[in-house]
Parts: sequence; C-alpha cells; structure tokens
Amino acid sequence: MSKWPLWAVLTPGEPARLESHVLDALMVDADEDEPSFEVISGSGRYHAIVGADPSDVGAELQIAEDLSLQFDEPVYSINRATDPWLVMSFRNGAGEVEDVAPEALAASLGCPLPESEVRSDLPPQQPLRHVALVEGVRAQEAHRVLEEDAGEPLAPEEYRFEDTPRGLLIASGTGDIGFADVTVSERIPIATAYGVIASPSLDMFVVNILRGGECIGQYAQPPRDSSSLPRVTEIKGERTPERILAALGISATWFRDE
Amino acid sequence: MDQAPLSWFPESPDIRQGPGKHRRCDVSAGPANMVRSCLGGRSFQALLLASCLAASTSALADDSRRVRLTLSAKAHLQVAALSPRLEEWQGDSLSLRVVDPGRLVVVAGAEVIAAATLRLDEELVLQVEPLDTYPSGYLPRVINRESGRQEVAVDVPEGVGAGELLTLTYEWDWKYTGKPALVRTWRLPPLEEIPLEWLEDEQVETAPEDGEDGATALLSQQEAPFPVQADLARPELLWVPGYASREEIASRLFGDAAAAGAFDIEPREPPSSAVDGLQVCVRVRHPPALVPELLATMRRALDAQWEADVAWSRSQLSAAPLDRAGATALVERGLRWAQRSDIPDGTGQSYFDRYLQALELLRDESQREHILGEAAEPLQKAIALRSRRFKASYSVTDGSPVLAPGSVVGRFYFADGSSVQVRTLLLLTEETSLERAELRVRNAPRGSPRVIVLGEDGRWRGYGAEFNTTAEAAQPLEHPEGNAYWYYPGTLLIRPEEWRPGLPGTGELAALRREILQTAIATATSQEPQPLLALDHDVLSLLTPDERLGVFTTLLGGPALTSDMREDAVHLLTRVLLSTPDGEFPPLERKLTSSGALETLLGSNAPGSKVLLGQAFTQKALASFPLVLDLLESLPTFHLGRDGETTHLLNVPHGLVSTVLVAPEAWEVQQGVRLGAEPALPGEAVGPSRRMALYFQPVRQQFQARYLSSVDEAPRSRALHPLEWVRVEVHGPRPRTHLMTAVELALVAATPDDSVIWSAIGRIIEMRMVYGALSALSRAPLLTGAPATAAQGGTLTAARGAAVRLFARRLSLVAALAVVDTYRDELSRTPEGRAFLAVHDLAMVALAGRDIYKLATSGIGRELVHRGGLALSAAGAPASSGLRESVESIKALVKTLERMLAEGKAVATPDGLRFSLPGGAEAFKQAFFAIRGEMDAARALGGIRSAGLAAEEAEKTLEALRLLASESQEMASAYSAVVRRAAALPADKAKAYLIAVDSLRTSTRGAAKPALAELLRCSGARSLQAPLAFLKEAEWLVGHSELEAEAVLELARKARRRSVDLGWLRSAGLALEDLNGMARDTRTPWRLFQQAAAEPGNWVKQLQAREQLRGIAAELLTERNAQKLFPGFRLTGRQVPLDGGHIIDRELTSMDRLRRQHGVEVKGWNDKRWRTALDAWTSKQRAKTLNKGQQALSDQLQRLLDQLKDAAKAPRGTPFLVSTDGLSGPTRAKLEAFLVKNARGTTLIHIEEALMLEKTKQLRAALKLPERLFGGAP
Repeated sequence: MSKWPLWAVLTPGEPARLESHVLDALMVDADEDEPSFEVISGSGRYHAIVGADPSDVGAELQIAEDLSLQFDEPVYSINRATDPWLVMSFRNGAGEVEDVAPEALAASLGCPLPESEVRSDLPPQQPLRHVALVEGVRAQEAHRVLEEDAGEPLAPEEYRFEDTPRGLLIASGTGDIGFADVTVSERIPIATAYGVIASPSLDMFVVNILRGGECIGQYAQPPRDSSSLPRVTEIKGERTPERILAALGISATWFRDE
Repeated sequence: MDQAPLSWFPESPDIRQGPGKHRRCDVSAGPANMVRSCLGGRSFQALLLASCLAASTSALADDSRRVRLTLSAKAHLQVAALSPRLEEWQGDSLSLRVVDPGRLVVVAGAEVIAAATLRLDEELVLQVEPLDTYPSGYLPRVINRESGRQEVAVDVPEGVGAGELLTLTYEWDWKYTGKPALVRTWRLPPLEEIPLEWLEDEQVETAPEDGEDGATALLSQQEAPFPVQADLARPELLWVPGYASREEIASRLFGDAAAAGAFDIEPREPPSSAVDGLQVCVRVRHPPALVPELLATMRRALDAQWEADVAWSRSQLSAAPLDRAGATALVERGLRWAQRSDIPDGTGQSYFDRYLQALELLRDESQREHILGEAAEPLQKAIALRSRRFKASYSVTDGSPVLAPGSVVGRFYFADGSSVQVRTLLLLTEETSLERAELRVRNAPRGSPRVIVLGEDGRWRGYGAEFNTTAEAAQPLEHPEGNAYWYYPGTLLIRPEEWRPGLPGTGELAALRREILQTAIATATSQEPQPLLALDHDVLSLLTPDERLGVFTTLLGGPALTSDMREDAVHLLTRVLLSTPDGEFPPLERKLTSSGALETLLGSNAPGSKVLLGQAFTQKALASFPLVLDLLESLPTFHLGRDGETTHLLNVPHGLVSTVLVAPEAWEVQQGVRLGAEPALPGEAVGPSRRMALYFQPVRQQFQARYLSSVDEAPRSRALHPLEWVRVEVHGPRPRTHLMTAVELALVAATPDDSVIWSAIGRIIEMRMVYGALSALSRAPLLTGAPATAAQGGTLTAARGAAVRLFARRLSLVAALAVVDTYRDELSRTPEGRAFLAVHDLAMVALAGRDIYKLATSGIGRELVHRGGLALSAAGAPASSGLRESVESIKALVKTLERMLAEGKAVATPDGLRFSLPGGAEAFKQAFFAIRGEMDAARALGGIRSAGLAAEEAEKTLEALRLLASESQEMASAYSAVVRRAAALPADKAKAYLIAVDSLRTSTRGAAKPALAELLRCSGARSLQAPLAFLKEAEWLVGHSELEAEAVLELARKARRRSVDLGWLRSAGLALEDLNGMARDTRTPWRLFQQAAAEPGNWVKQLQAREQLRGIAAELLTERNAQKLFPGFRLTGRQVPLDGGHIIDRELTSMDRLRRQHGVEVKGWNDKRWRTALDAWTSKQRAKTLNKGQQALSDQLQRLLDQLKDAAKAPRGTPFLVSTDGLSGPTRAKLEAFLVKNARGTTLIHIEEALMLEKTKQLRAALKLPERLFGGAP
C-alpha cells in the first residue's frame, strides 16, 4: 500500500482469516484486481486492516461491528477520511465513539498504521522564529499567566522573559514562543503584544499586533495577500524589518540560527 | 479480433484425427468465425466439448438424444434393398444393440470416432476388442454385456466433423461374413456458437448456501506477484508459495530472476500462523538486497520481534539471579539476534547492535559475565565476531585466516533449549568468492555437513563440519524445528543430502562447473564411482549425451547399485535424468532400455531413490514426447496397497517385444508413445525392431486369520512401452489414484524385498502429491512436502478459503490449478474425485514445465474438465461450496485457455502463455469469467427446469444480462455474480431472485447503468442475506429521476460495501440537493448517522454525528457558495488526489489565462475545536505530554498541513483553507500565526457560522437526529 490509509480496523484474529472476512465485507469478487486493503500483522494479538480507497470508507464500521461478535476484546474502527476523524470501538456488535488518536491507538495495540510511502518532494520551508514584545505587563505576571494556561509549571527553558525599557520580551530557547503572545494579550487586556515571526535573514517578516487576544493589525513583509487580518504598513512609525525590530527593542539575533 | 496471421495457430494433433490429417484454416470466413472455419480449431475445440458431452450423456435421465440402432444381420438384410437414406443427425450418441458379431467403424467427417470388433463368447457375453490398428481409445462404451441385452454406445462429440457426414459401418462376422455391410449415414449439424447446454456438463445437486466461506478461484494477471510472508518468530526467514520456481522466487525477492542462488531453502515446517499455501521457507543471504517492499516488511516484523524480545530479555534480567536455564535461554536469544548482524534497521544500525543497545546489562561486559556466568561464552564470542558497536574481551582462538580443526563455528539449539557446538573438521577448499567455494563444496563427496566461512583475509573456505554430539544422541539435522547460530558472519551450512534443482549451469561459473564435471568423470570408475555421486543439478546439466550415457554405464557396470551407496547412486541417476535437455531424453531412454540399464535398475534395492527416479522418467516423458491422455478408463489400470484383508502387489516381468521404427515424419504423434510404432532416432533404420517392454502381473494376497493366507496371481498385462501411461489405484486408509509412466510404476513395484514395497507405496502417496511431483523438474517449484495437511483443526476451513482467495488473487495458471490442492482430502473420498486429482496432478506437472500448449492440446485439459464434472456429481450435495467453486473455476480456466488459443488471442510458448495483443491478459480474464458465467447460468437454468418450474423468464433475464455483460467489465462481473448466486440457490428461490434482478434491470435509468452493475454484484454476494429485499430497495435508487448519476453510482458502491442502508436512506428526508451532495462524497459516514438516529440517547454518538454533519455542512456550503467565496475561480473537482499521495476536498481553476489549479481544504471545525487543536499542536511542538483527545487533534492538524503542502506543489497555485467565520479573536490570531509558520501562502476563507448552524440543523432533522441533547447541544 503506497497511500496513507484512510480507514482501518484494529482487531484480534488470524490474518489470513481476516483477509477473507474483509473480502466478503467489501464484496470483492474474484474478477477484481488486487484488493484495496491490506492486512498488517501486529506484534501482539491485534492486527491492522487498512485501506486507502475512498470508496471503501464507511465499510470499516460494518467490518468492525461484525468482527466484534467473534472476539472478547474490542474491535476498533478508524476513519481518517471524514472531518473530524472517527474512531469507534465495538464490543459484541455495539459501537462507541472513542476520543483517541488513531496512530496512538494502533501503536498501543502493537499494530502501528503504516506511514504514507508517497511524500511531497517540496523543499522544506525555511524555519521561522517567533519572539514577542508585550507592553503593559511584567515578566512575573506573564509567567503566571502562561503557567495557568498550560496547567502545569513551565519548564526552565520553555520561555525567556526579559523586562526591557520598551516592555516585556518573550522568547524561547526553541526559537518559537508558540501562542504565548496571544495568550498573554488575551489574559491581560491592558497589554499590547507585538508578536514577531521572521526568518533568519528577515526576508520573511510578520508582526501581529495583539490586544485582548485579537489581532488588530498585521504587518507583513512581503505583504500577505492571503491574510484575512487587518493590515498595517508600519509599526511604531517604522516600515522596515530592521527598524521595526529596533523600535521594539528586539535584537535581530533572536531570529538567527545560532 | 482483427484478422490475425495464421502462423500462430497450433497444428493441433487431435487424438481422434486420422494420420496426417492436419488441416488448413480458411480465413475467408473472418476472424470472428475462425473457430468454426478452421477445421483444426474445430477439432481442437471439440476435444474439450467431447468430454463435456460424455458427462452429460451419462447423466441424462431420458435417452431422447440417443440414436438407437440394432446390429442385426437378419433385420438389416431385410431392408438392405432400400437405398440408404441420409438423415439429419440430432443426437448425442449412438446406442447399438448387438445381435450379431462384426467389425464396427464410426467416422465423423474425416475422423474415426469409434472402431472395434464386437463378438460374443461361448456364453454369448459381449466382448469388445480393438480393431486392427486402431488403439483401445476408439472402443465404444459397453452398456451391457449380458446375453440377450448386449449393447454398446458411441458418443458423437459435438463439433467433430461438424457440417459433414457421420457414417457407421458394420461388417458382419461369423456366419454372415461377406454379406453386405450395414452402413448408416447422417448429416452432422454445422458448428455454431457454443450452445449453452454444452456447458451444462453436469447436473449436480445444488448445495444449499451453508454460509461456509466460499472459495473463489480466479485468474488474475500473470504478472501479479505471489505472496511472501515474514516468519513471525524468525522474521529474517520468508515464506513463499510451493508452486514458485527458484527463478520466480528470485525475481520476487530481488527483482532479478538471475539471482536464483542468492537464497537458501530452509527445511522447516510451516508454522500454524503461516498463510496456507506458503510452504517454502527461504533464507536470504543478503537481506539488504531484497526489493524495498519486502525489506520494509522484514524490518517491520523484526522491529516487532525486537520489541518483544527486548521486553522478554529485560524481564529475565530483572529476575536475577538467573539460574543456568535462564542464562542459557538469554544467551540463545542473544545469538538469535547475532544472526541479524548483517541486517540494518531503518537507521542503518544492525539489529544485533540494536538489541544489545537496548539491554545495558547484556552489552556491559562485566555485568554480562556476572549475570550469565559461564553460559555467557557463546554470546561473548558472537559479540566479538559480529557486533560493530560493542566489544567483548573474549579471545577467539579458532585460528585465522584458516580455522583450525575443532574450531567452534556455531551452535545448534534444539527446541527444548539444549544445544551442541558445531565444529570444523578439515579444510576442503579455499576460494575468492562464496559462489566458487560453494560450488566446489557442494560437488565434492560429502558424508558429513559442510560449512563455508569467510576468513579475515577475505577468502572463503569450505570445511567439513560436525556436531559435537554422540551417535546415540539426537542428530541436529533431523530436527528442522531447531536453529543453528553461527559466530562468523556469512557462514553457510550445506547439509549432506541437500541438492539445488533449478539452478542453471550457465553463467560466470560455467567454466568451474565444467572443470569439476570433467574431474569427476575422469576419476570415477565403476568400482569407485564416488566422485560422481556428489555432483549437483547445475553441474550435471553440462553433461553431453555421451557423457550422460557414460555416467549410467559407470554406475550400472559396477557394484554401485547393490552396495551401501545404492541410494546415492540411484539418486545421482535421477539428477542426471532431470538435468537432461528435453530433446536429448528420447535417445537416452532408448539407449538405457536397449542396453539393459533399466533391467538393472529394476533389480536395484534402493526403494527411496527409485521412486524419485521413476518420477523423473515420467516428467521427462511428459516434457519430451507429445502427450496423449486418453480417457482414464482406457488406460491400463493396476492396483497397489491394502484393501481390507486383501493386499495388492505387482510382479514386473520384462522382455523384448517387436516394435516398428518409423520415420519421424510418418509417426502418428496423436497416438502417443506406444509399442508397434515409434519414431526412429537419428541414425536408426526404419522398420521392424525389438525393444524392451514391461509387463505387470497383479498379485493378490488374501490374509485369513484362521487359515493360510492365499496368493492369487492374475495373468500378466499386455506388453507396455516403458513410457506408456498407466493408471495406478493405491489402496489403503487414504486411497489415491495416480497417472504415471509404466517405468515409474515398475521402479516402485519391482522391489526384490517385499518388505520395503510398503514404504515405497507410502512414498508414492506422499511424493506424488502435486508439488512433490514437480519438485525435481529443472524449472520446478521447490516444495516437497504434503501441503494439504498443513492446516489443522478448526482453522482449516477458514484457512482454506483464505488460501484460495490469496492464491487466486495473485496468480498464474499454476496457482489457479493449485487451488484444487486445498480440497485434496475432500476429493479423495470418492473414486471420481481421485480420478480427477490424478489428471489434475498431471496438469500441474505440465504447467510446472510451463507447457501450456500441452495442457490444452494433449487431452489433459479435456479430461480434467470431464473428471471435474464427474467428481462434483459424485460428491453430490455435501460437496463444499469451496470445492465446487474450485473445480468449476478450473473447468472454466481450461475452456478459456482453449478458446483463447483457438481464437489466436493467446499463444503457448515454452515460457508460458503469451498474448498476441495488448491487454491480452485482461481479455483472458474477461473470457474466463464469461465462460464461468455461462456455466453458472446453465446450472441455474438447469436447476429451475429440473424442479419443473418454467424457466423462460429466467432465461430471458440471463440473456439480457449476458448482453449487458459484453458492454463493460463491471457488468461482466455483475453477470458473473448474479449467475453464481442463482446457481447456488434452490430452484424456486433462484427463479424469484432472477425475477427481482430483471425488475431492477428494467427500472434502471440509462445514466444509472454503472450503478446497476454495482447493485447486481452486491445482490449476488453470498454474504448478502436477503437479496430480494436488497434488490427492491435498489430499485428506488436506480429509478430516482432526480439523483445525479455520480451520486447514484457512489451510493451503489457504498451499498455493495454495506456502508449505506438504502432502505434507511430512502426513509430519510434529505433535500435533493443535500442528498446529491452527500451521496457524491465517498466519505459520508452513512452508517454512523443511521446508528445515531437509532440511538438518540447515545450522547457520544450524537456528538460525533453532529461534528461530522458540521464538516458536511461546510463542504455543501463551500460548494454552493463557490462563486462568492472564490471570485475569479471555478470549482472543477472534488476529492482530488494530489501528487504526494494526499487527497484534497475541492479543486478550483482560475478563470484567467493561466487556468491554474488550486486545492481547497474545508474544515467544519468550530471555534472550540480549532483552539484546542492549535493549543495541542503547540504543546506537541514543545514536547509536552498530550491526552488522547489532544493527540488526535494534533495529528489531524499535521494531516492538514501535509495536505496543504502537497496542494501547494507546482504547478498548482497556493491552496485555500475554508473555515467558519465564527472564530474568536484569539483563535483566529492563532490560526493565522499557525499558517504563517507552517503553511505559508495558504489563504483562509471564511463561511458564515450562521449558515453552517442552519445547514447542520436541516441535516439533523432530515436524518432524524435529536435536535436537543441531554445536557444541551454542543
């Protein structure tokens, strides 16, 4: 199978027998070509029946339901064609929706789903780094807000906070503060955050001005025609990336690779 | 078919055709009628059909198609004055009441179809004997021999002599000698299309649908690869089908048929988990050379095994202190992984190092020794010699680069965990490559195992080897379930009795092979032939005819056949025979029989090898001479084995008899190999000659407990040519029927010691199993076991069904026939089944030699079809549906083969079937299923008629479907499914079913025809419980005047896969526009909606259904508002596959001159889901632990990114992402930031949340989903 499986059934049973069962379920005839599914032997009791043919999507529910009548253990159906993905467990013919990631479920049962063998050959995009300057808030307060939002103590290197004359600089050892600028601006309505997303050479440069968690203006160089956010052409009166960074008191070195 | 050149057409020797009557074809009739206009083709076709008729005639309840005639001189002479009149022939057979003796000849067209002397003995019992030079194959069937009721019958095969005259001549004998002969003449009908009733070749009772896993044999494209399975316990071993040859395996494993030496066969029993049919275990010498797909499979299995073994090893290590047994088990597991040191995992690390890496206590030397104690030594040595990453202070003292005698190179572990060392003996050879060293070692005399080891200097050395065990102890090589582990990478074990048939003698090593051969020939003598005894197939294949004869002379001229080396000697002769080119076999056979060699062999007491030698004779006979297989009943039949108190044995006298050598061009090939006329070899004078012949004298021993046993010797048989075919009935607990040459039977039966004949008979039973019979062929499959007994217990039925499908799905002709083997036990229950198997086995031998032509023209195919019908009739209703399917599919296969050859669409070549036109394989497949369908249709109609029901309506339905079937492959499949189902139903239900089918057909709108095919196929599926109800619901679908054709087709496809319940859908209140939109989408989860509607209280299911409906609503709205949402674009595709393997929801095309295409991904997520997903994504990037729900959403975002990236690939333009406009400010900010960072260029398009809510509400109402949920709507 060269395609990413759109559907799967995770089930106990003997692989050859499972293949036979699915052939029946899909009503694949003798005169058809290779079956549109594959039975992948697992390392334990479970095996994965996977398929990438959109026409077969939906059949996994019936297959899982039928198979669940044969085994004591639950049989799982996975549908990754729909939105959202649908994972169900069946016991004795009765199905329940499961809130679980298909890959994780399959891996935990010893029958990981195959990865797609066909990959886009697009060159990887240049990584962008994300740093923010937040006005009207101090490091301690931002730390508290982000910790509350995470629901757990922040790891030491997760964020770097630096109170500067121009405001609070939030950066990260990973180079990406995630949505920390949005979160802080949302939780502290008086704060104004300038979230800067840029490439090392600054040839890709975006600043989101956030207040109350909302983006009230976006500066982008080159301009982003695709953005639905309100556009601005200057930040703090400056129109070029270097000068904007200087105006925000953010060193360009944050965006470099070192 | 267009006009085709005639050169393709086989000048088919017809067994009923007179001498030299090869016919020319008249192409003026056009290609479509070529079968009819080509006399050769006509006879050819008739061969097959004749057998069908033989079966149908015998099964007819009435005799309306018999033409009766009384052979009475008195009655005839009274009417002789009347001019003989020409009548139209309307029968199937002549039924001849014999009053007066005479000589009968019946000729159809130019072909004799019956000839015999009919006489009455002293008690007026009818005797039927061959007439003059006509062989027994022309004898009429005896209906009754009794006085006053003597009767014979002559079947008149349809097609033979079509359009010409059928003439019966009966010359009076005895007291009417010289009186005017009885002559009757009829005009035979011309050959038209194959009438349906011809295909109605058996009227077996219809087995009720029993729910058994129906087996479906089929023919797929020949190019399709066969299955390969990694061994679960030893993933470095692969299981391949028994029917595959070495070349095919090499091609499958490495993509290179020339790499036939790059793997070794492991003598292991298939594990219970192995897919039935995969019976040969191979070890690949260099796994990285596998084709990527198989290497990935092996790695996956190794990864899984690694996890399990690491977990097990850790548990063992944590249980310290380990006892000796525990330590030994750990060491054994470590050695097992050491053998995988030459297999890199996905990161390039060897699996051995990876195993050690995971187990600190094992890889750390001091801890290892502390935990394992003395038991650690083997693992120490393996680490020292095989690990790249880890060290052992172990000092290897074996000597280098040449290993000293006694060096321990490996260890063999028995299944019980005990083990013995493998030690080297003397150095035998030293070479620059493994292949050269192996060639020398394999062809050197060997009484003990050998090992080939790579030295540190890069040279390969062969050593004698021994297991460090006593003679009384268990011998490792007799324990295939055990495992040998080697310390030196690349070590190769060569077992004493290991041969490699199928390896060619040519190639780079041909010179060395020739040198080895010459040396052996030069040094071997009759008194000391040992140098010859070790030569393998590839070397022996280089023998010249004189050298070959010389080998026989050397072995037969001395004491070899009576000494301790007799089994080895006869086995060598077997290998010599098998390595003989087909064209050189006839002179060899002649010389062997004329020189007395055969007599010597008959007297040899080497029962095991004699059985093999006999098989070799049979196989070479099949490969070298035109095979003529007449009706089984006409073959000389002999009995062997025990039947109750009676034991059947055979004496095998032999002697010289008269024969006639005829010029090859005058030899009547269609009469086959026989005494009386055989082709002269080059240099031989034609004319009378004498040759050695065999006789068989049946001996019956009757054991009586209270009296002396009696011995009854029957008269000996007529003289038989050694290569003449005989039938052997083997009696015993598992009776069998086999076809073989007389010489094979003689070699088995002629054993000086009666006590060993039993083992010989036992070996026949086992070794003449289908694959066993093929194992020694030069291009043959490898299997030598007994495949049908592999599956066990309760899994048997399921495994068989699966195996049948598995085989069928890949296949070539060989595999299609191999399917029958699955039902060997079932078939063996009746004499008819055994007869069928005998012919089937012979067909397998022909196919193993890729001799398609022989299969089609020799009579094997015809006899196979005939016997298949009889076997099914004999099995009756209890026959499993799988067996029925299997046998009928083979019958269809043979008929297809014949038809394709006759029509010139296929050509038989030495390498198999080749198709004359592009798409030939597909045409073959279509023809196969068309014929299969015709057979089923005939059976269904026959069943309806037999039940006394009117069949006209059903007949019309089937005819209409048959016409539709010619329009498309889909309809052909549908037709096939319908007739199969109808044939399997009881007559009344079949009739009702066909009426419903016709109703569906006539209700179908023109645009819905493709859907009709899907629905009919569904109705024909055995697993569909209520076909009539289904067809009724389907009528609504195909008759719906407003549903778009695309939607109808997709729903039909879904219905076939039971993904939608049409009855439920019909009852839903979906607006037409919504129904069209949802039905067109392959992904719509109809079952979920149906379940949710049925369970309004199931909150989780309701939530999931609502989420899905949001997604659907978003897509429907996107499509309906496309113009507004995407100004300047036009919607041009749905569910479009992308180059990178992903699928995107919609495709837009710009309306400017560029006409660039853009992907559109639609996400129906609400604000909460977007926000949770984006936060989960960020957490994952920061390596935080996610709960199940977060993980699922994060995975879906990753999938979205993959899709968008794939959609952004040139020449497509930047993609669009559609989402609700109901996003909060922070969620929108996050989503934009997410896109900037990960999918730059993606344009976010918003659709109104209010519209989505409204549409979702409408859909919920239509699908009868509750509007309000307990706890409030989400």
